[in-house]
Amino acid sequence: MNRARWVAMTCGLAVCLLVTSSVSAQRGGGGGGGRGGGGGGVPFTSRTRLFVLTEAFTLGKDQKQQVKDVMDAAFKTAAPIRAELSKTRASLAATVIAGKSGGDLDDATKAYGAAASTMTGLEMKTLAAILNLVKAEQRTAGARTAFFLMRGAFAGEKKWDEVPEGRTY
Amino acid sequence: MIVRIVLALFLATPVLLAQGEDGPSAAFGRPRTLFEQFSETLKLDKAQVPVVQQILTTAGSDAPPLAQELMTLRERIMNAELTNRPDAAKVALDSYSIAAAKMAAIEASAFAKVYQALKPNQQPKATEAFGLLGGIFMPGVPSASRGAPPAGGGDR
Repeated sequence: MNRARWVAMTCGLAVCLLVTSSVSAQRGGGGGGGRGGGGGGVPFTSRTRLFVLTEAFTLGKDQKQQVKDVMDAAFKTAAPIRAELSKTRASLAATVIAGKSGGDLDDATKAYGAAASTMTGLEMKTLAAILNLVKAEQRTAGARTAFFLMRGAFAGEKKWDEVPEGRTY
Repeated sequence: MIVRIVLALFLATPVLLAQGEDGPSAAFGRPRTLFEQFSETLKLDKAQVPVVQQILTTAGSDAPPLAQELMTLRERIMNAELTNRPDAAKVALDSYSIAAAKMAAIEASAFAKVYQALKPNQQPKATEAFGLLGGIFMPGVPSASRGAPPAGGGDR
């Protein structure tokens, strides 16, 4: 192999390395870290839901508090739904572990599906309330992020304003 | 020499990415994936990880149409709420309940196979781990998630 091919291969590998590093740095965060403003230097690990919502909608101070109030209230409302989700999920697991199938499995999945639907209803109702709080241009800018961020927002036991770890229901 | 250094760096990249202060996923500060949480909860050994991955991959191959249906229904529910149409919301929620049950059945089927692959000392954690499989076949947040609402606010 001549020198020119070695140089070409070296450059290719270097590009691969840079691309891999770049992709990894953006993974999971939508690559938003490079945006100007408050989010630019914030590591992904500290991007809580409220932080992301604030960034996505470019919320003012009062709006941020209003969104927080809406989310806090929804999280409290979600308590019995969380319990039902947890109960029906455990029941489904027990059904599987016991080796049951047919009607028992159908009943367990239906019960879980009903709980999941109730939680989804609350999430979407809450999202609609937030979308009604913000101005039209803010809605356009942030609705898509908020839509995906809302899934599982109230499924955690402790709080909603945490860094999403992918766990939903 | 330069070639060797670059090649070594390139080959080491996945290793560097896989290492972190808080387990294999904390490099670059990213949250743990659902599979990583699942694997850590069950304390899967090196031989079990690819087996379980294969089980979940195979099970997940049936999930995309259902996942899409669930996301579409979420849009319909959101639009119904936005436009204050409780009847439309109820219809969509009923459909969501059915679709969510089907997704749970896929998750349960995968879980049954994973459970069979567990050692006795791992099985007591299985119920907890099953909780982590919830939504594992749903799409993650798109990389370009800023922008207009997914549904466009239409009457669907």
